[in-house]
Amino acid sequence: MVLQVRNLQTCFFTPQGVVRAVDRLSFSLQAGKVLGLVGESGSGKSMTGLSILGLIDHPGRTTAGEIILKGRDLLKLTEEERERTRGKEVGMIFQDPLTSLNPVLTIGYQITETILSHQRISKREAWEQGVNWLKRLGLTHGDRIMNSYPFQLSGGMRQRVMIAAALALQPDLLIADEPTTALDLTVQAQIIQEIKRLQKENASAIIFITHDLGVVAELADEIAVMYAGSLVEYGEIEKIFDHPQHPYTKALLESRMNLGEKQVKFIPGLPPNLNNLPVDQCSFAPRCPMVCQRCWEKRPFLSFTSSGQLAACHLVEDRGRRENSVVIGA
Amino acid sequence: MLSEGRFLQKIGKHCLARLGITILLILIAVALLAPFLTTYQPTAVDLYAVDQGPSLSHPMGTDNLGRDILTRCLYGGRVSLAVGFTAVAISLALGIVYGTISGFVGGWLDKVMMGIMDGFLALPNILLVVAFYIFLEPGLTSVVLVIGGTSWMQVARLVRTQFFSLKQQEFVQAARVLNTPGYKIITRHLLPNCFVPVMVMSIINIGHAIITESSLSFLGLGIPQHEPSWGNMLMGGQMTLLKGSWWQTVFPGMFIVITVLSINFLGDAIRDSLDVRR
Amino acid sequence: MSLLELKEVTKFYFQGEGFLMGKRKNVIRAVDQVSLSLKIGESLGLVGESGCGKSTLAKMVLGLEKPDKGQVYFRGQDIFHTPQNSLRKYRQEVQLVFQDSLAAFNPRLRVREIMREPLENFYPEEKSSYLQRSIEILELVGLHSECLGSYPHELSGGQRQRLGIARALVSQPKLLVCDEAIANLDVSLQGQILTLFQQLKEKLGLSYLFISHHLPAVQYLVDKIVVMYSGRIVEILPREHLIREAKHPYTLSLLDALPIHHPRERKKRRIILPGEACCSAHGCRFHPRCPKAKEICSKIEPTLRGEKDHLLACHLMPY
Repeated sequence: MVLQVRNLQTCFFTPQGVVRAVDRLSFSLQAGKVLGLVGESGSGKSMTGLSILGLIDHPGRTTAGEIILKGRDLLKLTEEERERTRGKEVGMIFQDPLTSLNPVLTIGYQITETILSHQRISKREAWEQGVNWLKRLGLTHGDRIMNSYPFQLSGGMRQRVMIAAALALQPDLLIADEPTTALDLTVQAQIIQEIKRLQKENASAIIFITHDLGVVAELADEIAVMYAGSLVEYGEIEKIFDHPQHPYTKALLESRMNLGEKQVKFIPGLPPNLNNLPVDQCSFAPRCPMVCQRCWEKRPFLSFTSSGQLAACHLVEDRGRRENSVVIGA
Repeated sequence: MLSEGRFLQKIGKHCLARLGITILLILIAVALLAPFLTTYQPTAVDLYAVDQGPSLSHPMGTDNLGRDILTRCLYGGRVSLAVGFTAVAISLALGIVYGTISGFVGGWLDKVMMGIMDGFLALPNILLVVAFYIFLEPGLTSVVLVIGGTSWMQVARLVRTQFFSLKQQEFVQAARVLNTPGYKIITRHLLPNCFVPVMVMSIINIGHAIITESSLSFLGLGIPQHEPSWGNMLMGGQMTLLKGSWWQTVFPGMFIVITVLSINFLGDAIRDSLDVRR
Repeated sequence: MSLLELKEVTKFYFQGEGFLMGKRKNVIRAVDQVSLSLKIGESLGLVGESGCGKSTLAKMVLGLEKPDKGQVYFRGQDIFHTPQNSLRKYRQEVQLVFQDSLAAFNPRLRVREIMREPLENFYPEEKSSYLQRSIEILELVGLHSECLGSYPHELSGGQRQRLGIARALVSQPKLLVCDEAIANLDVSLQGQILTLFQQLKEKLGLSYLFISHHLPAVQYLVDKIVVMYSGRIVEILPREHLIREAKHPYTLSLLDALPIHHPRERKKRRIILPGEACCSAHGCRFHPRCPKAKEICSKIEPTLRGEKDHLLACHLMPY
């Protein structure tokens, strides 16, 4: 088990109130597996990634929980120790490579610096490693790219550079936050293919954060669906795509548009205002097509379904109780 | 912890701004109420009290002609503050008009206008000032005109650059698609969104204007010695500084520094409060 | 008579302009001899990836930029060679909805002032009706009159996009240009806005020039789809043909690049294009990436031809 997250809570303390961006999130990830962390804006998926990396800034703070990476609780480390884990143990890829890369330094400089900060090797060796990684990501003119500046490369190439730089340190865990969202569809298809290929060779654990269910369908072994900061469904990807248990997951899967559809399905209403979200009701209740009285009075806990998924819904709980399954409290 | 430190920083900055505003208001009030605050006349010569250090009867000492320095500082404040605000008002008026035309029309007109302006900027300030004084007599009006006439270029360049970048923004393109006439695009979309940086620059320019006035007076090109201004007090005091009569320069200098600092804090506060999104 | 017609519209950009006049290093043809037409009540979808020229084309349709070659006709009149008054009439009939809803509004203006601007421009005599009209249009797009006092950044992304649509509808246009109007929205909101577009189409008889890379959305809303690559049109097809009868290799790879629906489709054989969109100097623009390129493709640029309403620019699949 590479990563175990237990009851993670990250809150933002604003003058308007407390925003529970990540609300008692728990999941685990094994080596070599890809977890698709799915949700819309405000669901808390990016915040989860940032919490694991320890990049939550004022006025936010990780207030509770455990992030256990290979046996060590990251939240119990000091700031310096935390910094040392970034890159070497937990790698990251963000959405916009143009802003993640320093525009005035060459690619080569940035990659070699990254490698050298975690390995004691010569500059020449670091350069060789960099070129090799670029090659593995499909960029054959490694030397030319190493000598270029970020603005000279296209979006897809920049993103590959980012992935190469992240993987070069061979982290145990890689967090990718919407890495393909800003790219053209055809380029996205290429990058996904590269990631799939490298996944087979490399065996890092990956948390792939995205709102795009199609990308998740391509890459993920497991999927965790988030809404308003909490986990609403979690399980193996095929099971969830076949039999989604939570109404939000169902709605999300149904609202994807197929070619040739005559009708557009969508989820009515707006995503909730995270400020001072009430704790004693289900956060999806205002938009849920199957809402009942209990949903407004009590917050549902995650419970197992008979197919082995976890879902936080009263209806699922009922079904579980009827079938005598275990209830997991949060 | 990191979060607490940053929070204190925010309060601190806020305090500084309030401190600045308070001090500035006190200074303005004091300058206006000068006649009521001292019994001396700013031009009253008293040859029995020449070059005296600070004492009970003259809290800031006296100068070469026995004039009370505190009184001259207060009356001098009127001059310096008036020059500061008026000169900046002139530079704003000139700069905004010039920058608007150049920035909105663009193309060859912009290149020509900026070329002319760069020509002015290339000349050393002193040369420009001296050129002005070929036509003007030293005095309050001329100082204001000179300072205003040599600092409008900064404002023009800022406005023009802002216009160029704003013109590319979607909401300006939207206004064109919505058939909004040019003058309305300028007054409703372009100028208001330049307002904050131009205002901040102007506030800081007030400080510069006061210092420039001091420099000009120091060089003998500003306010003649008779009427006090902080600048010409510095000039008058420079000889006696070597003798050890520090009060003739330190006190006016202090007034200049405090005023300019307060103005800068005020500029920060205004910039923060004018941002609609905060 | 067609509502909108583009004839051989071309726009160049120069990269690396030399210091001396006339020394132009790289000429980029952002839009290259594009011709298309739109009938009254018809909607057209413009599909393509970055660098294909669709945004530049939109700007020329809106009169924001002038084509270097070619003409843009609206109701038979060349919009760039008419006196100013006609351009005003044109502006009333053609409006725009942006992609980035935050940048589309002056951050210092409230909603009521934002709505007021087109009302003042197009109905200068009817000042007393402005408030009433604003509320009517806002309700038409699903916004409550409560938001009149808000600033754009205080609204949610979906609400802002609706505001953009409302503002565009004030002049009662006949053609609405939507430049990636749903791209920045959450998945659940995309469906809402798309439904709104469809309702407006039916209620108001609007035509759309719908620019998007979201193929299912385009297919849902429009009658005709135009596929662009590197400044040229590579295929024009009716919406029904998109799923099974698309012919151009680029269109086919776009279709293959669509996200899959279920993990079991992972094994499906798909065309993955190498490289990225770039301009090739000779022959077909697409040939460096085309999986089916032959020698002729690198030499001669194919022309757009075909039968009826399905046109194609490809050497390999002559009609």
